[in-house]
Amino acid sequence: MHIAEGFLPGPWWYLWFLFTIPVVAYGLARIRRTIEEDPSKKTLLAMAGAFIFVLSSLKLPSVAGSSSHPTGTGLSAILFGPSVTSVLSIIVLIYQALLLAHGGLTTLGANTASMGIIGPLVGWLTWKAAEKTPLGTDLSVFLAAAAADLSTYMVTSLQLALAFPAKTGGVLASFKAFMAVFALTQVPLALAEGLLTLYVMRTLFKLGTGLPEHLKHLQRSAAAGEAL
Amino acid sequence: MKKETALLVLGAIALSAFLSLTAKTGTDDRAVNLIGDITEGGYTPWAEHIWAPPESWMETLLFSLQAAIGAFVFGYTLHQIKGHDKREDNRRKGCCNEPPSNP
Repeated sequence: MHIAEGFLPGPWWYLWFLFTIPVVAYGLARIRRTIEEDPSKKTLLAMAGAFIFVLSSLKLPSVAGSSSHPTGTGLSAILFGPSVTSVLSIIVLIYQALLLAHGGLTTLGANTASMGIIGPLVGWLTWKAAEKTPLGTDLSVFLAAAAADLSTYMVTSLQLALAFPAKTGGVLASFKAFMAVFALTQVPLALAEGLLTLYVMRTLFKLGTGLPEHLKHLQRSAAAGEAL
Repeated sequence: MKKETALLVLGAIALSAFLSLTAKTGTDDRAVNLIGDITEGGYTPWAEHIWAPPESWMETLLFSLQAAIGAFVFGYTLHQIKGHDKREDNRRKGCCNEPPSNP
């Protein structure tokens, strides 16, 4: 799902850097503030980052004879929001670009924008919206994680389509073609990622301690449910 | 819990090694091929990887290493959070076992 090294021509590669850099800088500032306010949050931050590390290392072969991997960003998006997630994602993307020739340094801006910012933003918004409905916490977590994964691939397709519009049909035709490459493998992956994220969140809700303020009420209600 | 962490790390390594050995053409490569189709071969990438794993087993190894680092940190942090929970419980128990002082 990462755009390969050198495969985004100007101006696209640096436009995506211009988009990404301020968000990552803001994310770093938020991480610093979070740790200053409560040093115990370091543990949860490390856990969210580790989750992304593991999941994006799992190259899953799939029906179309191609391989793809989950993003793991949904958990971090729900716990800390998109800007913090962008920092955690860029660490993984740099590891893969330097050591695995997977993605690239020139496309780091674009890949961080899709996997680290827009995907998690969609996941976070999905969480915020679903949580207010009677869907329940479990389904909201599942939907948010799946949405973060799927939208990451939609953004990648859009980035490639903008840079390489088709001769007939332009950007839209290209977008459809790139989506066709990713969609088949990514839909089952997004569902699997949703379930895995749900499992981790349930464990965290059960344990309770160290949850960010905006999730504390869920921990309490889970405890109340157990008491009943 | 240490045993659980070790199992988690081993499981992640095994899974990731297995997957990267069995996976054939990735979607990333297919996207690159599609760029070739759209531009009718008119696009050459303008940057090359600084370094790429020279052998496929090294790529597998580094993917597995990524999984292992992640699994280890994940297991360790979960352990920390659980430990914190227990300490809190003990503290609470400690406080409530004392008889309330009614004046």
